[in-house]
This record gives sequence, structure tokens and C-alpha cells, in this order.
Amino acid sequence: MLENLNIYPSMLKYNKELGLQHTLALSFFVIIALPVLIFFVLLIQSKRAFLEVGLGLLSTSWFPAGQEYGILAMLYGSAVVVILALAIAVPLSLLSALALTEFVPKSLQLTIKSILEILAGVPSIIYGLLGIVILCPWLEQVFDISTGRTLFAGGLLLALMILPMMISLFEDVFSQIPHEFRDNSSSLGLNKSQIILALILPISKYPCFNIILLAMSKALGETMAIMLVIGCVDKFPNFWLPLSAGQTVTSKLGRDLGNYSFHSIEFSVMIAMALILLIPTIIFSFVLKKRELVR
Amino acid sequence: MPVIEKAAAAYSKLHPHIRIQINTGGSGIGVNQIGLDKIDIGMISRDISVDEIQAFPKTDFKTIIVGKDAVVPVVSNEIYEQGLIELDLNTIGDIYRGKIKNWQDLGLKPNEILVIDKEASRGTRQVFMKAILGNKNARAIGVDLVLGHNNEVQTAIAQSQQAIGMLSFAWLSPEVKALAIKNIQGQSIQANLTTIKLGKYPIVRSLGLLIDVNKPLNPDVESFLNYLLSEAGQAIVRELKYIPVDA
Repeated sequence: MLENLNIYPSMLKYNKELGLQHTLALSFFVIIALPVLIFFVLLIQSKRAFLEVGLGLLSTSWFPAGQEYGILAMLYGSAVVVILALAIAVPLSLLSALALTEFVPKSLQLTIKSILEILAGVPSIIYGLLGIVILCPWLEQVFDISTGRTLFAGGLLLALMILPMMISLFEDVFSQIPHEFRDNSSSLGLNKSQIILALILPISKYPCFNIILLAMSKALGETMAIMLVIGCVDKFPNFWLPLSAGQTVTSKLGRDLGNYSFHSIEFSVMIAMALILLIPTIIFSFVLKKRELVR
Repeated sequence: MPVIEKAAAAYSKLHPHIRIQINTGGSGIGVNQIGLDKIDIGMISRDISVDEIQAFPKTDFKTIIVGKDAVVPVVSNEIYEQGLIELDLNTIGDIYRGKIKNWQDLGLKPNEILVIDKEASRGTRQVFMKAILGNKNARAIGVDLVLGHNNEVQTAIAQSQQAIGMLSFAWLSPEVKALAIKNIQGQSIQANLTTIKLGKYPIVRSLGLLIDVNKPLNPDVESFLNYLLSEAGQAIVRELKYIPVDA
């Protein structure tokens, strides 16, 4: 298009290349610097918590007025909610994406895909409100509990929130497998389900793991919707079933962070929680990348 | 606080060159933002704590009272209709302590009590806890849910059939029922403008605006504060069911 402008084409070409190089270098720098920066800010801010509270962090009792800064209840809440969400969303989204790529006609496929993309962009507070109005009262009825605002509600809602993104991404992966592969397999006498199990899933193993990891970090970081439906009680649930109110790291941050002054110990402990929340994502991500490289 | 939102809108109409930007949050946020010099006026509906004063040594906090409010224990409609219309502070305290867990213990149909608390730094919570448990930061073991804004509490109690919680007097609505408070003499005191004015109703708080007097006061800020204390400003306080300063 620029060539059509007919002004010093050689100059433009030169600038374009140089410009591209600079932009790439800049983007590369930002991509590297941003996570490092975030990590160090979190580390510096949480230093006070680790030094002054130390092992006191590993308690279930959060009561700043009494100098108790246990964060286990929040970590437990985050873990429960994310495991629940993934346990529901992973099989469901995998199956839906397979159905979408392998069994649904192309025209319908595109319609469904655009609906999914719209759903993935719905602001999380909308999901939170739906949670309060529909999901929680429904859970109250089904399980006969005094409030539906529970860790379980948080897990269900999260599953619902990551589903559209996951289906859409899985579908991208599956539909990129060349059609010749499928044709060859079926001419070898494999039926649809055999093709899925022996060809499609094994080929797309690593991209799928990456998608699950992405979904996990999205779920771990989700704040607004979770904050509205999990009850926000800093208590370790009385029984192992997640059908009681709880707290996640993010809901705690969302509700309380603004109330504490920047250099206070409470603030520092909250940042420490956020830092700990990053650890599983970092570990899984490294393990996965290593596996991919070895392959 | 709804009063400030409404007053700011009215004030901006009178003085179109002044724009007032309002953020919401609990009293803790108001104190913090003043301390960090991020805002001109903070809103606070409780006393500022020693910790907060110490956290910002450079700030000299001053609170200007613009109205009063009561904090009222509220229950779900179903509970009220079963005949529970009053409680004494001690019994409410026992509910929040987790000693009373079922409405049956108070002579109603057996049903678990859904105890609703608010975020620790909220003014409403601190005033309420001081009244029922004797300490504004009291730990309430019996609590089932922790919510934030009065709006959120109101919704949760209206949705439930077995909940108790606390609400600002101005936030009472037909969907939730206010309990009267039984005092030591056995009198039942309903929260209303008269009992609050006369100081009979026991859980009352001041709605304050926080400024930093170490900083030269911006004339526009001063003018808005004067407006709030003027007849027009206080009319808004009254209109929104809060209690004016002079009452």
C-alpha cells in the first residue's frame, strides 16, 4: 500500500525495515521486562511479611487486629476453586471442541465460534452478578444450605467463565491439524473415535496442556466474580467438602487491599499471598516448556 | 456515601467550573487516600484509628462531621414475620460470637442463622461491633458471610430466609426488616429520626469528611465543605434519610 503513495519508495522501504526492527526489539524488551518487574515489585513489597511474620503466615487465622496473619485459608480457597473449575471445564471444553471440529458442519462451526468469542469477552462482574442472582440461590435449593455463596459456587462460576475461552482455543488447535491426516487415517480403516484417540489428541497434546495452563492462571487470577459469590470468610472450612463459604487470595485482595496503607504489615502480607499465587503457574509453565523442548 | 454523590451533583450545577470526582469504598480507603495525598476529601463513618494516624505521620487528619447515621440490625422478612421484632445487644452479640446458631434458640422455627458480617475496615461494621461485642475490631466467629457495601448486604438479606446482618439506617428498604433494640430496662427502641436525635437509639455514628490540615486548603474544597454544612447541603442529608448535624 505504501508503494502506491509514490514518494521516495526506497526511503520508505529502508525506514520500514528499520522501524520493524526497532519495534520488535522494543516489544521483546517489554515482554521480558514486565514479568521481571512485576515479580520484583511483589518480592520487595512482601519482604516485610516474610521477615516479620515468617512462619506465622502458615496459620489458618487471619485477624490483623490481633496480629494474626495466617494466609492458609486463602491459599486453600484458591486451590479448591481452581481445581474444581479445571475439573469441570477441562473435560467439558475438550469434548465440546472435538464435537465442534469433527462433527459440526463448517457454517454452524463459525457461528458457534463467534458466540464463544463474545462470551469470552463478557466482563467478569457480569458473571459475578449472574452468580448471585441465579447460581447461589440454586445451590441453596439443591443442597439445602443456608447460603449458596460457597467455594463450590466459586468453582462452578470459574468453570463457566473459562469454558468459552478454552473451547475456542482447543478448537483452533484441532482444526489446524491438516485434513489429509484425517483422510489417510480413515482410508486405513479407522473410525471417527479411533481417529480422535489415536491421531488428534496425541498430536495436539502440548498445545492443549498450554491452553489448560493458561486457563489455570486465568482462574487463579480472577477476582471480581469470585469475590461476589464465595462468601469471603477468612475461615478454613469445617469439612472437606467445599460447600461452605471461604476466601481466595484474589477475593481477599479485592475486598481488603485498598483498606491498608501502602507500607503496613497487612499490605505486605497480602502482596506475599499474591506472590505465592504466582508460584504454581511458574512451575507448571517451566515443566511444560522443558517437556516440549525435550520432545 | 449517597449524600456526597447527590450533594456533588447539586453543587456542580451551581458551580459548573468545578468537577467533583467521587470514588467509593470503605472508610479505610478514605483514610488511606488522604494519607497518601491522592484526594482532597476522604469519607469516614467511624473514628480514625491510632494505627492509621501513625501510618501517616506527615498527615494531620481533621474530620468534619456532615451528618449522623444509625446502624440497624436487620433480618430477612421470613424471620420478622415469625414474630422476631426486637433483640437486645447481648443476644445479637451471641449470634455473632457463634453461641446462638439456630433461630429455634430464639423461639422461632428451626432454621440455621445466616450471620452476615461486613469487611473489617467498614465504618458500619466497626460501630456495630463496638455496640454488640464491645470492640470495634472484635473477631466474630459465628459469621457465615462477609460482604462490603450496604447494597450488597441488603441484597443478601433480602434473598435469604434466615439471615441477620447490619445496615445503615438510610439503607433500610421494604425487603429487609429492621429490628428494634431492647435496652437494659426492657424498653424496645426502634431506630427512627426521633430516637436517633434524642440519643436513645444506641448504635449511632457520625458521617465525617476527612481533610489534611497540614496542607493548605484548596478554596474550592473549602467552598464544597461549606455547601455541605449549609441549609441546602443539610437538606440533602435529610432527604436521603440521614440525620442533619444540628439535630
